[in-house]
Amino acid sequence: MFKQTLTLLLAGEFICPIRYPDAWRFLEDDTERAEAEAFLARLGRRLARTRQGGAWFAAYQDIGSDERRAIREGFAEIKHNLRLLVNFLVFVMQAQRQDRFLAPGGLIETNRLMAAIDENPNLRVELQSIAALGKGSGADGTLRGTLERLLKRLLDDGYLILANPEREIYEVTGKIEYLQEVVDFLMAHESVKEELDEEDDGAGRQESLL
Amino acid sequence: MSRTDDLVVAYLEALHRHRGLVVAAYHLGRIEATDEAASPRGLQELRRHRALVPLTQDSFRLASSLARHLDEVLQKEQLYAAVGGNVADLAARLPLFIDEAVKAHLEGRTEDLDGYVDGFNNAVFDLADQIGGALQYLRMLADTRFASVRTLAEKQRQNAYYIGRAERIGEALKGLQTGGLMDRIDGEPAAAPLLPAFRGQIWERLPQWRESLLDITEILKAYLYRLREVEPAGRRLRAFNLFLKRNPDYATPDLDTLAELPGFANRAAPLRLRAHPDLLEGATQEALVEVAARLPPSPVPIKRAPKVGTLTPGADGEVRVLELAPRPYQLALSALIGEVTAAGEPLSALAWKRRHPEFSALPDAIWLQCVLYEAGLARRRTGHIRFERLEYPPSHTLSGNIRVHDVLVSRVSA
Repeated sequence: MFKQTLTLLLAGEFICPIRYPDAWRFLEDDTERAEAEAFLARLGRRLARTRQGGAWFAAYQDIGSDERRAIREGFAEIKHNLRLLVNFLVFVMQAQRQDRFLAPGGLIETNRLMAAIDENPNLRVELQSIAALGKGSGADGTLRGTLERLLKRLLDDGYLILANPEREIYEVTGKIEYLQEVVDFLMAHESVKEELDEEDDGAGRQESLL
Repeated sequence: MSRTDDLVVAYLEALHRHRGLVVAAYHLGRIEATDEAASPRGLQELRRHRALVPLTQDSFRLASSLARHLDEVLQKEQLYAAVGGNVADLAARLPLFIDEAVKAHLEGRTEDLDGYVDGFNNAVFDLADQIGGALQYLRMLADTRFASVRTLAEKQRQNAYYIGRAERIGEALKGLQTGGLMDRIDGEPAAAPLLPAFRGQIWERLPQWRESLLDITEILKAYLYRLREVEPAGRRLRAFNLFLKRNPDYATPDLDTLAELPGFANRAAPLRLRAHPDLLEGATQEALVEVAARLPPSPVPIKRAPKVGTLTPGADGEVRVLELAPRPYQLALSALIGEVTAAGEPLSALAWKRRHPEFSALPDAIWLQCVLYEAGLARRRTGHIRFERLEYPPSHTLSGNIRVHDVLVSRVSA
């Protein structure tokens, strides 16, 4: 398991119990983890974990000019995808009528989500505006196609796995916690107040309904 | 002891004979007397063995003890299972057996002593099984994160419940370790027969159980903490989404402007790993040959060399050379182009041809077609010439037909 786990870590993957259960179990073992850490250290990397503890990933041990450049590129990627990801995740939370964050292990059922979107004109408009942030609507131009394309985007980015292909049920992976950390940092940096905005959000939605 | 006389064998055979009914009752939770598979004889036999108990007048369910046994064997997850529910009760029996065994020994009641020793041993085995099973079940729940319930609120409630159960088991284990049972058995010669079972089944396993329980409790508490964090995280995400909507031009800060890099940004960029087979390495040669043998053949373009002909000499032995003569329209076009170059006025292609009787065999329509074809080729030799079609008026605006009756050829002024 050492080879598979280290290859995944070096390839920039997030090791969580949902996406890579075997590698996760491997890293949960203190002895195996120490070996993995020693190996990574020789490559100038270390084993890091998301704040919530739901995923392992490889981080730099020291930051020189090369690492800084790579970090800048990584941050640019986050910058590029952030708006779409945040919008879509909040959209899924709204459609599923839940206030809770889509934590690792949470399920997204395409059919249920689609039924909720069909019932609610606001969600239909919202989905189209989110699609515009990405590469537009789905290939067939339908809402279903758009939703599937967005879900596939999250799947390709490693935020979801397809837990049940027949019923199109997706499961949230531990990588979501990394996104959560990014959001928390940006909120602190921009001094965004969650409580105040919550109220405004409700008022805003009321206005949009009117 | 014959097979038929043994009650255990008889019971197991009855279960096997009517296994279809047992399975249906276990999986469906009940079985109707009117079901096709439910024969009155089968139902009666299973009821006699207390494997089935009445649920309503015409339906039955599996006896709780048998259903529980199957749950344990199959490690079926239950909602709010009474994990380790009777560990404390079972542990409380042990001092009673010790007291009675010591009394029986002192009073010389050997038969009674044997009975108490057997009872004590059974209680010890039962207790060890209960603790082992409970810990195994809790571990499974902790590892699967309460997979049988869907919502986070349910998971949260289940988690809190099982933390409570784990704490109760922990107290029972503590009682076994510090309650002085071992000292009593060890220090009382009359209780010597009780020692092997207690030591082997309970005492020596206690440290391992406590460690396992600690581990499980830690996992459950960490998970509970994470579950409690989920709701505020959702609120923050929504607030940030609103912030993004209100600030459509918002751009995340430049890393260079930050005094300190945030922890998440430290994530190492993926390494692009690529390996190639070492063809000189003998150990991998066999595998490489196997891989190579399975590769589909790559399409090989076959280039056929043109056949080189040989010049056959004529009958007189001389090599004949055939020179191709230009065609009449080519001669006519060449002459026309030559004249246009010299002349200044536009020339009618038809009038020109009529002035040259050597081309009279060339039909007018073909001639005009040849001139237009030459115009379409736009060759360098006609670069200085302008071709102008003279057309008949169209028979119909949308017919699409162009009927040409002449072509004017003129020199383009430089």
